[in-house]
Amino acid sequence: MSIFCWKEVKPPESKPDFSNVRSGGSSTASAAPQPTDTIGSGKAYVVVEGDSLSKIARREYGDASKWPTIYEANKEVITDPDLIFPGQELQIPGA
Amino acid sequence: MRTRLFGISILALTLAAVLNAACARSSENPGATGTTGTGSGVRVSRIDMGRSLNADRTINDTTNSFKPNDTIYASIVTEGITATTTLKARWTYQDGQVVNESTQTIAPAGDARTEFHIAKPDGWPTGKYTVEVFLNGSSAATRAFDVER
Repeated sequence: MSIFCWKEVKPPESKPDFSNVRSGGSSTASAAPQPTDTIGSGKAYVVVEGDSLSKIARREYGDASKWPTIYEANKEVITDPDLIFPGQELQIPGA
Repeated sequence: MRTRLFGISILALTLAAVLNAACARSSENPGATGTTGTGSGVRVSRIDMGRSLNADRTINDTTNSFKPNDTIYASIVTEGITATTTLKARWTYQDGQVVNESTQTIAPAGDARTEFHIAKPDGWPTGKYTVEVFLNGSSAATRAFDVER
């Protein structure tokens, strides 16, 4: 075969990143009372470089989509959920 | 005589195997594969999808085809009354990646609409997606949609 028959090697397609997906919801039905033990006393967590709320949620809860739980519990220190800083101390509810 | 006994034994074994398979199948979760299903006393009757929502949680502009910058709404219609029902929406991309999961715990006193929505600030990748709704942990309904340019 000649050099004209070479096959183009495509780089492997990267997976789309859904870690910054924001979600919400509401209902016409009334909200059922939540068991208090799901909130728990929580624990403190100090942000390290490379962290995001979804990464912390994945690590602490095994589910990245639970990042709003951490955000809601730390609104006093987090002004933008896409922006957290190394050294920041966060409360992780129910962890 | 020996041949007849052998034949009866084979027949009995076959019958036992068929009964065993039937019993195993009846114990599977009936809601896991349906397109709509039931929770305890509550049933998902429909999922509507669109780009915006009315105050009563109905969809303003029903569509199955979204643009990358859309907020995607799923409005779930439930029927029935319970003190506590957990409704979960799992959004999945075509490659199997879970895009998002969120849960609401509601106490419906009849027909109700519960909406879940997702948004992605940097835009949705084009492709096929599904939203699967779980009632108290059991799959109750699934709906597919597309994101196109």
